[in-house]
Amino acid sequence: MNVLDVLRLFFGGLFVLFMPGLAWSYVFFNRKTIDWIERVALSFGLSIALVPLTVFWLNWLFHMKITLLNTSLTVCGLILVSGICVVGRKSGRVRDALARLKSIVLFRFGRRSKG
Amino acid sequence: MGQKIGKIIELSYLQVLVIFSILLLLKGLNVLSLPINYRLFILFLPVLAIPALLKAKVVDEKRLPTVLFLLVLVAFLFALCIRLLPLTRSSIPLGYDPGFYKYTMDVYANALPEIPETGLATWVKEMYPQGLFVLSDTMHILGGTDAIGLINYLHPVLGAFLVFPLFIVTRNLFGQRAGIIGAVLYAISYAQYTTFAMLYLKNVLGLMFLLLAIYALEKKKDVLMAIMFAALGIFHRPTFLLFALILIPYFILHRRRGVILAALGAAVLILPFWLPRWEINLGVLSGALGAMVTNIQTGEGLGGGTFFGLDTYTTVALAYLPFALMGAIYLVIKRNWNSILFYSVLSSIIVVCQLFFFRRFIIKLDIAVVILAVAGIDYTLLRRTGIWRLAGIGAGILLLVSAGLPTVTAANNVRPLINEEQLAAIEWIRDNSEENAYVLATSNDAPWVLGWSGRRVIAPGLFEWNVYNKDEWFSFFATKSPEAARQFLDVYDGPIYIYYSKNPGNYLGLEKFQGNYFRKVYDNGAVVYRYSGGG
Repeated sequence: MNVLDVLRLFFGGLFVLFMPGLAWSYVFFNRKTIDWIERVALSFGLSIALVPLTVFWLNWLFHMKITLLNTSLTVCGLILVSGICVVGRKSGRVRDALARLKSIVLFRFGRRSKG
Repeated sequence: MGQKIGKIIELSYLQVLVIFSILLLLKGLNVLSLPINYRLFILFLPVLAIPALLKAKVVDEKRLPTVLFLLVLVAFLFALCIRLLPLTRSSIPLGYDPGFYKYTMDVYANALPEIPETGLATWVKEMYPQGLFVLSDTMHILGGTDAIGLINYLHPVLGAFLVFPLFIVTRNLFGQRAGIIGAVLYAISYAQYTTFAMLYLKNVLGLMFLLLAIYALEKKKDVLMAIMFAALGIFHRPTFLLFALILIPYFILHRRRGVILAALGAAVLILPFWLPRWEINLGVLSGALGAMVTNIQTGEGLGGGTFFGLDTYTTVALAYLPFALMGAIYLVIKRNWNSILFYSVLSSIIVVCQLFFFRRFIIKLDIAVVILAVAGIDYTLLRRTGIWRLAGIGAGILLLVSAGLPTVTAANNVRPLINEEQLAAIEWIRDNSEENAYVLATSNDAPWVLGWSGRRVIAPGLFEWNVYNKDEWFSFFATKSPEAARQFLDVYDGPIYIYYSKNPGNYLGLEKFQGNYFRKVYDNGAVVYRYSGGG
């Protein structure tokens, strides 16, 4: 294994097994609500969960081939979506819309379960 | 009067605990082993601890010094070191399963840029949900890793990394000190080390997602829980089933609609994974239920999976099992119906009543036991003051040493099931046999041959190329006649190699390969014959 292989393994591993989860951990928990141990644990777990789920879904829905470009874009997309969610949550309008959507879902579900 | 009796029992608990800790350590060090049943302490100690548990109050802990959190890092590093130790002796992976994993990862990697769902053999679909292999594909493309790299390095790292999810779950439920002790206890757990040494990679991933799902459940983060629940469904189905079972009593008692929504979300997320395999998954589930019914009716203990049994577990986890029972009693006394309580009760029922996959469920039970044990230690000893606290620290250290001894011994002694020479023999087949050749091997050798030879493997009860039943295989093993061996092999068209590793407990009956039809082509650590009659 030469230096380039080791670098590829390190950064590739970080990119697949840590970065998407780290980004998504901010969707679920604000900056100061959890400490670094929780952040690390969630980042690793979320990445390992989200990457295969997303790759498989895209392959199933759009017959996306698993290539270097597609996979890199998928992981970048995951990070981007989490960024949008975090920014959206901070913006009042998006937060209101999400809250309205949640209440509709919960109301419908509640009515159905009562019925 | 009642108070006096309570006080006496409480003091007895302290005294018996000290005696138990010392006896266990002496036994672990092979210094002194009394002719008593040490397992009695599993029930005896919690009974004595009841007055202390009744007194225990839920109070906010003071913030612990940051340096104590370094213990979590130390636990992680310790867990990592003992998992990497076998690699310093040999680069051959541990356990029986590496060949299965390598073969399946190679099949997925060779099918890139597609996912080889339709071309997979039924046994692959039954054994392996897609999640791990889509991840290995991604790591292969972006990180340049191969199957052996993932097996040798990702597996120990993941095993050690479980320290963190376990810490956060335990801290969330029982406080910081409990979290730290839990992390240390996990790092020295013999059951968890055996899981690593048997290369149960899916189990390790399953445990990580289970803990994170429980964390999300207790934090009421339903979307996060849906993702972790779905991850369980695509990585490890038995743990998925366990978490689904945990959610039932949790929902009944807590009536939180978010739980149902999260479960529905998870169902949607795993839909494309499960749809193409619904028949197979249903078959696996009905097989497990069938084994459960048979086990309940006859007590035969079928379909337990490969792992040590409850007897061994109660011996190796003896140091912390009594405290786990105390932790469970504490939760019941305080009417704290959290998910860990349901988790421990459900996994205990599966293991003790031998319902299905019950030996493998010891791996999951051990995690619940570790979490409850630290609650037991914390509430009966460490949250108190004076002599109690001192005794708690002393006994805790002795018990940690006792629990860690078998793990350290195992880390020193564990070896791969085959040696370098035997692996070289398989690689010789890969390099020197025809592409369309078959390799016949015993079920002990078969996974290695499958993973490393790149050839179709004929083995008893394994893989799609086997056409014989158990009795036919037994008579093949028993025969010494080259003619009978020839008849057995002639149903396959193509050259056939016979691989046999000279390991204890491995039997093939080599006398039958002495005839004219068989030629010994390799003999070093393992023997390889070529059958010239078939092709």
